[in-house]
Amino acid sequence: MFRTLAACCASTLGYPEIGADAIVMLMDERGIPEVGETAPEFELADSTGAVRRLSEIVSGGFGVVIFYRGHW
Amino acid sequence: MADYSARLDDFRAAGADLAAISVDSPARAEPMHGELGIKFPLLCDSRREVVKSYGLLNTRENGGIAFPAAFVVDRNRIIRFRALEEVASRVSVDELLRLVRDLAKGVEPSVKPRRRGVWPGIMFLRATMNAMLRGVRVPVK
Repeated sequence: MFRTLAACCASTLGYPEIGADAIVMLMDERGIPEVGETAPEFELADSTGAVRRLSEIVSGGFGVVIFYRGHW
Repeated sequence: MADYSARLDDFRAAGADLAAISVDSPARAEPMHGELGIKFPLLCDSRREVVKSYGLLNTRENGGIAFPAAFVVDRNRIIRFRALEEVASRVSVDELLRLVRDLAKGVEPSVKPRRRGVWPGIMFLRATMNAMLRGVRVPVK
């Protein structure tokens, strides 16, 4: 619903692709955990196959978790 | 990513460990790990569950990839800093390192999350430029 709206706004404005992304992200920001909130726990395999959990990454004091676009 | 890797020892000295997450499969991520000499784990969220749970799934690109972002999380899993970025390098590695050192000392961090008021403007400009230069691409479902 929001996405469709955003896509419509963006394409009306002439930014069909990146524009919609920006608007969608702004609208969806409430879905992104904020400062002071608990970060969702995760358990993921790294590129070597080793399984890593957020609670282990932060166990030394702090964890810096970076989301990146990737290679695709 | 290489910048982070170069400062890994400094982060660890400040008590912070690093991890990076993308939707890449291990087969895609491992070359980056090896060739770029990234010394921290590259986590593979091929099912996009973690990216989704952090509200960072950009479904408009290639079946869904992550919006670049960085979080500093303490040992109780409380988020102490959050940067939502158009490009991952927008918060510099040095700024993040300074922030982590401040946090470790219990000092109120001097690095504040930047307001994002400006960057949609930058993105729109860039989108317009792209549209003019390359034409408009209709996303294929």
